[in-house]
Amino acid sequence: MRYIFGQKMIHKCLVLSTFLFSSLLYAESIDSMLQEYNQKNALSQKTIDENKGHLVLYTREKLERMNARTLKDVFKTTPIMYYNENRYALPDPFTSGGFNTYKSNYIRLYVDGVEITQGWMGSGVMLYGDINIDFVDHIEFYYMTPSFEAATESAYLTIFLYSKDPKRDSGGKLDLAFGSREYNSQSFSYGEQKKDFSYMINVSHTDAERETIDNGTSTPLSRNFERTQLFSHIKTEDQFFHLQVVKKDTDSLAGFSWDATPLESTMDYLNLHLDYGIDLSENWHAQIAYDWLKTDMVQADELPLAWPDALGSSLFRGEYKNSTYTGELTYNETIGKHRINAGIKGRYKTLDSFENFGQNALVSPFTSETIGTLFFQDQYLLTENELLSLGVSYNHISRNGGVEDDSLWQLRLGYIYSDEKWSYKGYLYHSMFAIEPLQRYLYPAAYENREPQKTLGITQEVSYVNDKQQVKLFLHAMQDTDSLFEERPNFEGTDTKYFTSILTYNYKIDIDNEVNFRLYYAHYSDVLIAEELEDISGYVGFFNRYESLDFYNGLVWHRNSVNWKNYFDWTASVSWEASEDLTLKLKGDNLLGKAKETRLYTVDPLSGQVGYLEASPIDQRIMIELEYLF
Amino acid sequence: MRKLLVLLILLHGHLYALERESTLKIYHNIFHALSSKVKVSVYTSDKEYKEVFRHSKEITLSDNPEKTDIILITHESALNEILYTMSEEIHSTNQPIIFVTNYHFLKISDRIVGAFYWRKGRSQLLFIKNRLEQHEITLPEEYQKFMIDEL
Repeated sequence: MRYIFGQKMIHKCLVLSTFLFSSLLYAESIDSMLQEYNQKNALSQKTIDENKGHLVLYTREKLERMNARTLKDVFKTTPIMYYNENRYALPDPFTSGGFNTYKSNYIRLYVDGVEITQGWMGSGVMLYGDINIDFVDHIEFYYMTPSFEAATESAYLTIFLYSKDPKRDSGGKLDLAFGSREYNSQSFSYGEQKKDFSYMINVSHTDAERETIDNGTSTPLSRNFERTQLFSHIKTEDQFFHLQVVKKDTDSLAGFSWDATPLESTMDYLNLHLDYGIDLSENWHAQIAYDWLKTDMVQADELPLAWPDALGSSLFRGEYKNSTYTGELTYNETIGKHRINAGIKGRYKTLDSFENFGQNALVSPFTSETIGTLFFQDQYLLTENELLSLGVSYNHISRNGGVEDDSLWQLRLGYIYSDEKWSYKGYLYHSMFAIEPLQRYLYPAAYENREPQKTLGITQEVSYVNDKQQVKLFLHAMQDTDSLFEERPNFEGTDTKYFTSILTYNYKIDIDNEVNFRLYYAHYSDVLIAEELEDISGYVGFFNRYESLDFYNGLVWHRNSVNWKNYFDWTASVSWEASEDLTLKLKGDNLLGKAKETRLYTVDPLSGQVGYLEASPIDQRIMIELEYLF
Repeated sequence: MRKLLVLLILLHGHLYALERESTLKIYHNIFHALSSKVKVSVYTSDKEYKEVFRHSKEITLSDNPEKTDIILITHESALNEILYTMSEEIHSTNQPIIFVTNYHFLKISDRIVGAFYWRKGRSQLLFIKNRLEQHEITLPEEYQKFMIDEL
């Protein structure tokens, strides 16, 4: 091609201007752009709603760097509740170590925005509290009552697990882990983004030989378990469907033995969860869910068992089946400066059957609860930086078998200020909690005409964030009237008072290195079996990367007024990316063998003397892991 | 204002995950590293990326994959369609540059010059040197650390 002089000049100018333009573009380094992109697109789905409440977020990157294999690995570093297990070896952060059925029903658990519940038997945390999280993209913990669009029933803590998006995590992953005491775990995932839909499937199996607890006999208490779980979903732009199955066969520690010397103690669970959701329009969303649980209990002791359905026998072979049906219709609309969320939810919990030694043994007339919920929430943008929110929710619980109904109100008033660096959140709320159905079913006389718990609370949070640092202070004061958390004899229904504070400081040294720090202090009055309880804990986590090596060191420190003893749980891991597809990991949990221990109370059936054993929910374990992506 | 305006437009969890400003910034940079044009023409069948690029003054969305500077591919069926369309043509520097958002796609065809993808919760940028050479593309110096000779 021939240029005349003018054309040649124009061409040169264009090339020059392109070069200058490009230079300007590159003025901001590609590294800083990648860092910004990571921060702003860290989640597979835009799920964070600051108005849901006070958030502790674990991004996928953080979960990977912590080498977190189970929800327990994350839970154990997270105040206020932390991780704990009850006398049946089930995840139960609120447990007192006493003979309660299940104490953590006020922790609600959601997967992809849909609640997982064990219905009659308890919260979803019961089986999902230590679940394998290979299918999870990120985890959100919200303190206290979250916004009403999320919860069907009242909650102190809400956990949201969000699954991996096949658009980001397409292809397969095989993960094999081997650890101390013949621990072994296998996980397989596959996800794919098609033109009009995406799907993901994860199957995992864990065979965990756990540390035993000495009970003074020649047969220490066992809590070994074998778990197989399936997670799957299929999603289109406006619809989703989930299928989840968990089968967990576990040795149930002290089980129903009063003095923690069971001859036999096992509990096997088979859980199914199905849900379907659809955006009916820009404003209307509908979803339905079904949860089913089969529980097989084998318990034997030399003395009568601490379980009413055993009817004073020392042998129990019970099988419970229960179902939960949930449906909801929600409406979301933005009108000027108002963001309106409103909806109606219905839930039906039923105890389908109870058999003992293969015979129908269901004699209780109380076998179902129907919960109807109406909620309304208005978030009003006061200025560009300030938001006011008002939420109101009404639950009506009707029960069969002549058991009284409950009407529960929740109110929530919130104020948020947020600018580029500072933010403030304050909430005032009133919640009500009813006794869970299993407790009422097992001890009908004890809970007849029992008033619902009324909770009045205030929470505040101040945070400052810049490119390198984040500082956050959370303060919480609350009072439960007619408390369900008071367990001392003759004190049931008194007031429980809480004051908690959490200081969080995160410092990002550079793209590869980060330090996290958390300090927690709490004071409780008339909670569980204590008149006064002070609780102090801390967490420090170091995240370091050097070339293809990733290092994590996390130390959780606990101390409380029960015995003012210091407990340290040190987790350390190193992972080596041998190639883009292959990663090898070495991890140690509770390396010092000094992780938090909690009391597991015993009663001598002959003398009535109360004693206790001490057990840590965190096992000491070294683990090798191989991860292959394809 | 950081979060509050966004809050008012949030609906459900399965909304688009891309943050527009940072996504545009990084793709402007990548596309201008691959093409010397001031305004780069890009073809993609992905609705989410289309919505992001629609707000760019430096990217023109193209409806024709054969007459565009860069093809951005986000899912396998789109990749197969594009490869099928281009299968009759021999490699030439005039062909559109194919860039993808999935590491595995790099193994499917050597026509793909690079990928910007997620791995374990972190974004990764990767270019294949010998494939860039087929298009006579020389990337700026700061991109050298994201280049590998071959897959």
